[in-house]
Amino acid sequence: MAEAEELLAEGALVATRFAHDLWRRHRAAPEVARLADVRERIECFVIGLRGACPTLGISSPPLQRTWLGRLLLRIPRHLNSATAQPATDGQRVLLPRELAPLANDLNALCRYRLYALAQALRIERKTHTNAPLDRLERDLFIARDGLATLTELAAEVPRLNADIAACVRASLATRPATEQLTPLEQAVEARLRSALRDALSPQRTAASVPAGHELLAEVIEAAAALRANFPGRYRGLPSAECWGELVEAGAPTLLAPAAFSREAAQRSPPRLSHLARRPTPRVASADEDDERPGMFIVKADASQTGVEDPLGLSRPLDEGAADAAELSAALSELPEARLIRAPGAVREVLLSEGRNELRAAQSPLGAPNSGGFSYPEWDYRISSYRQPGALVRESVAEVGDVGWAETVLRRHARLLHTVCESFAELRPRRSRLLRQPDGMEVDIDAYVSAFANRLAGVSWDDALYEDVRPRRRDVALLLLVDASASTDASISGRQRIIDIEKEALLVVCKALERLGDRYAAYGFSGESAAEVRVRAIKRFDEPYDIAVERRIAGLEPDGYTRLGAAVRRATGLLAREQARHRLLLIVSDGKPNDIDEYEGRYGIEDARQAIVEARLQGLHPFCLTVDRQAPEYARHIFGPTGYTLLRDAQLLPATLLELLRRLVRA
Amino acid sequence: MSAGAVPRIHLRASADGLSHPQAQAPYYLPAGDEVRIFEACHKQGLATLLKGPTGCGKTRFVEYMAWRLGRPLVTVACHDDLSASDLLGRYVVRGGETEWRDGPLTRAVRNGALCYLDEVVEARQDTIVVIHPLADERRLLPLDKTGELIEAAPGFQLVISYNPGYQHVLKDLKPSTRQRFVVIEFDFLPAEREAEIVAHEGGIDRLGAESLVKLARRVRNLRDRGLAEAPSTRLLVATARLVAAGIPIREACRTAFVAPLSDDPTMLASIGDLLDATL
Ligand SMILES: Nc1ncnc2c1ncn2[C@@H]1O[C@H](COP(=O)(O)OP(=O)(O)OP(=O)(O)O)[C@@H](O)[C@H]1O
Ligand SMILES: [Mg+2]
Repeated sequence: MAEAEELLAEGALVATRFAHDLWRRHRAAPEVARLADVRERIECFVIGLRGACPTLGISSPPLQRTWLGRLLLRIPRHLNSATAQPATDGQRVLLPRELAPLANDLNALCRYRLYALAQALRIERKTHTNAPLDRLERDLFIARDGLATLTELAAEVPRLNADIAACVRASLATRPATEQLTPLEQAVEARLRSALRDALSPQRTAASVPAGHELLAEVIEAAAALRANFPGRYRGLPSAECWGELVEAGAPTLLAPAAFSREAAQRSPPRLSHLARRPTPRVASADEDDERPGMFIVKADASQTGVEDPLGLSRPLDEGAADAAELSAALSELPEARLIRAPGAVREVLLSEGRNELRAAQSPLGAPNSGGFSYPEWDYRISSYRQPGALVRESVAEVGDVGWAETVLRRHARLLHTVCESFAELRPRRSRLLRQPDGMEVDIDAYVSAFANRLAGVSWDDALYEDVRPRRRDVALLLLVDASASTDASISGRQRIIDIEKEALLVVCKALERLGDRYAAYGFSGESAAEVRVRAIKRFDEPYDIAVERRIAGLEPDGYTRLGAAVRRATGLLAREQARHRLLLIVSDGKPNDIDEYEGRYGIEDARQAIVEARLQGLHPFCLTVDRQAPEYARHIFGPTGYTLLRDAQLLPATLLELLRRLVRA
Repeated sequence: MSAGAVPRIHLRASADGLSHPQAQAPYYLPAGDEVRIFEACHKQGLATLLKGPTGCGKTRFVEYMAWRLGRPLVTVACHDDLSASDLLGRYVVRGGETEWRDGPLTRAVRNGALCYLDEVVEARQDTIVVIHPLADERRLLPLDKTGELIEAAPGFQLVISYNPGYQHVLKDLKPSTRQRFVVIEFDFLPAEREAEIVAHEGGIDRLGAESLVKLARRVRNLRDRGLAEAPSTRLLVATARLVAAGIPIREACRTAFVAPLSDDPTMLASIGDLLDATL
């Protein structure tokens, strides 16, 4: 990293923040929206309008068949669509992984909002439970019920009328061509279109759709009449996107990497690829696991990548030559896949964005019996906490070199001096203690009052002075220092991050000591959810002494940054302090990570949730980060004013000072 | 401004340090039977605690009850520097002579006024205890300085308010204090009535008020999603006043309603979405 860049960093930070805000305000809605990015907004939207929001999940696009597959399974062309539709399984709102704006200018976010709302409403209407099973009846039912859903929606949120209309028009425009359909299908299609047109018409609110059982009766009758009057088969018709599909909830679905062993992961990182749709795990039938190989034909000369047999083929372990992307494409074509666990390392990880129920249910996260504090983790994919989450073990930090502190303090003598001075300036204006028995000045009010009391002949006390001793302020501060392996890296080729942190920590402790505020310092690192290490450098009720200095000296990088759990532990410790202002200061080098999925979005969302929890408990969390890439995610985790970029040990005390100042003034 | 050209000061301050009720009633729309309960407390000389979120009408209720009962009202906004003498009174020197000057609480006790201690948790614990003998059946106020033991005049009633918001995780009323009070709980009114208040107090038409209330109720649903304080009736009234002053309603909402609620960009965007869907 060039020095010039460093000089520019400050200015650039300000500038980019400004630019960010500008973009935020003036950028038209992004072209394509991804559910992962807008999920929170959609949830808030549904909660706001309906009081609660069902779990959001990803809806899988329908199976893609080759023409041969279609031929064999007799799937008509009009049912072979590639786009995922909004749907519900009666419990969850299922939405496409991403959405583009509609041609008639309904942007992607609006589409998401509308779909989510419509599906939430269908869940409330119990559409899934009420729907008949016969295909013809079911399609008619879905359309009539969809019309009723949209009508209800429009009545409840009239502002959405235009959006609904745009959506319905789009659905109308994408109905299948009728030439290929049987007369019966054509007649049903006409019904579906008429339902869509009803949803468009302004008198829609008047269009009365009977509820529950009556609707069912009506639909069954209509289906019978159609069948009597029109010849031909009924092979099904695609549902309309504006009200979506109904899918079966099925068993917990996930293609879990069986054993994600650490050593293996380190030896050769697994290849990653996205899974377009996720097969449903299928329960093996009793005779399926024949010991004898069945009649698969595995070509001996090529590694096996294509998977055709929908009846549960365990993929022969290949030579590792297969491309993960290819494999995921193949797997996405399977309607179901059997879960097979095999010992050993995982070579391909196929990322699927849907709910990881299986993982959530079965992952061996922090076993509660192994001693330590167990904290739940926030899983953004299911919008709820995972229990058990992570296990935090707390211990006293190891001690390091005796001489280290002295050397550092000598080297930073000037800094220490200025820091102490500026900290002292932070003392509150009202640090005058009134009515003291002794002090620098006379307390005029107390004097007058005592004088008056004496004249009046009542008892008066002789606490008539005012003192300017620094009053104990109502501040408690917990420093949470990242000691993960990544802090081993050096910044600008000079100092390791951990050294910057250590020196800053020492100076700050020294300065805080002079102020007399209650403070504590902890280091954290860890490896996996079962082993988050939080080490006490100085506890709240421990005096600052040489042992503390040696513990700071002894901080050495190791492990990973499971930020959420560490923050929760620190929150627990700080929340016990009876101070008016409680500051949780996190000094970290980078984004949350761990050996498992904590790396990435899961970790960021969990950390964000941990920070929200801290705020709700009346703490002020703040992060000083050494990572230049930080603004992207730090803003998300800590909020726009909850973090700052730290480039130098010298800056930590100054930044801290500024923070305390803000805090006490607030 | 339309229909509701409201006198905003319902009580006239006067030299005796008490606000005396005026002829015209302060505008108050009851939520349930709080008026009846309060009257019963008054009759029985029971101290009352009003509990509820910010801006839901606690202060207004007390003003209204003072008017209704025909009692003067003394209001003290509590803060953490409030000392016992600030409530009870102190000797002052005047021309070589000393003179005792009653504090607001003493004044209320002598005059049989309602004494309203707003946000009482903010006060120091040692200050709060001085109200203890007044809040139980003794109804006495000992003044150590003057050696007086004042029996509360008929009509005196102690009323305190308390917002159990998240800021006070550690600040809480001691049980010994709590148990001396009859608790009346306040919450935001049902949509209909809240709209009536917003229309009346904000001076806007009923339709506008209704949509503001609808928005507020939708945003209140987000309370568990990291919104620290739910948007209050007060916030709605303020927004309505901007509208009454000619600011377009969406603009007024953005500045007076959305912006004060959060700093979090995602939360702001979400509230903005609800605003779009409502107005
Ligand atoms: N029931 C009501 N009747 C009439 N006006 C009301 C009512 N509830 C709220 N208001 C309006 O809301 C405003 C705020 O109410 P008020 O000041 O009484 O809140 P509060 O509960 O005392 O809040 P805080 O806890 O912040 O002091 C009032 O000025 C009034 O305009
Ligand atoms: Mg008030």
